[in-house]
Amino acid sequence: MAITRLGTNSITGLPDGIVSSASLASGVGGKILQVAQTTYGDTSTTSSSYSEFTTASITKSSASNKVLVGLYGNWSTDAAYDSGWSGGNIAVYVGGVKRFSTGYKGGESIGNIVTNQIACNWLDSTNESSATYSFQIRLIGGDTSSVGISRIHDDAMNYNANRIILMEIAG
Amino acid sequence: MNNNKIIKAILKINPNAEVLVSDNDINKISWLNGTTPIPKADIEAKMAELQAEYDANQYQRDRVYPSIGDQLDMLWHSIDQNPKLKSEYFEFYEAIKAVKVKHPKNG
Repeated sequence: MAITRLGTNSITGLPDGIVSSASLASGVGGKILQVAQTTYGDTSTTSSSYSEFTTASITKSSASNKVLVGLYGNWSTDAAYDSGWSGGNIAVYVGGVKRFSTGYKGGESIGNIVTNQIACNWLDSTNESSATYSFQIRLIGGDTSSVGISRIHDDAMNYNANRIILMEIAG
Repeated sequence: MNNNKIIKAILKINPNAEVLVSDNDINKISWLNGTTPIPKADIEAKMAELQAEYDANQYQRDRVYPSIGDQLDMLWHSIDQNPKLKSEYFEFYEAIKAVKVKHPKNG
């Protein structure tokens, strides 16, 4: 039975879930169903093997919905101990399987720390009801350098920039 | 303290060390791929040693002189302003002046 709205009178009392998103006209209704944010600390590595530096989890309202995975922070590379350039990779694993990755190159044969902002977004269309994303970092480049994420020297305020944001988007 | 200082100390002790350091915390070091852990006290001692070296070099870092060429140029112009010095450093003064006369600055 159709509900007719009269003038500016509001309609109240509809039970939760009685109107599905599929019932709405195209372009009507929200597509971002939930947003989860977490922060992470300062992490650096000298290893060319991936190591986890933080995790973030989400449980979707429907397995077919998508997740926009956002990683924000700062790369920091240190080639202070010579031997060419240093850089890094960050990979996102779910259940031990690599799902996304990105990379950075900086600090070529200079005795100093190089920083640069990182802002990555990946759209995860995997059909699953929940996921725990494991964010892992590794060094690439010179043998005795290091790579980190979230450092700008000793500026503790910079920690505010280091975020993981997960958004569930209606499929 | 930051991760970089911890890592520099570790690499000074073991250049091949593979580690993950978190939250700028010497208590949050993961030793990777068979790297033999270094005692915390040794890392702290090396960090103090590196900091002492850095502090000891402050004098050299602060003393940034003009280039040798600029220093000599300033010296020549000082002599040029003083007849007595022109006489005392005659050869030096005249050698430079000869070049200036032969190749004067435009304008």
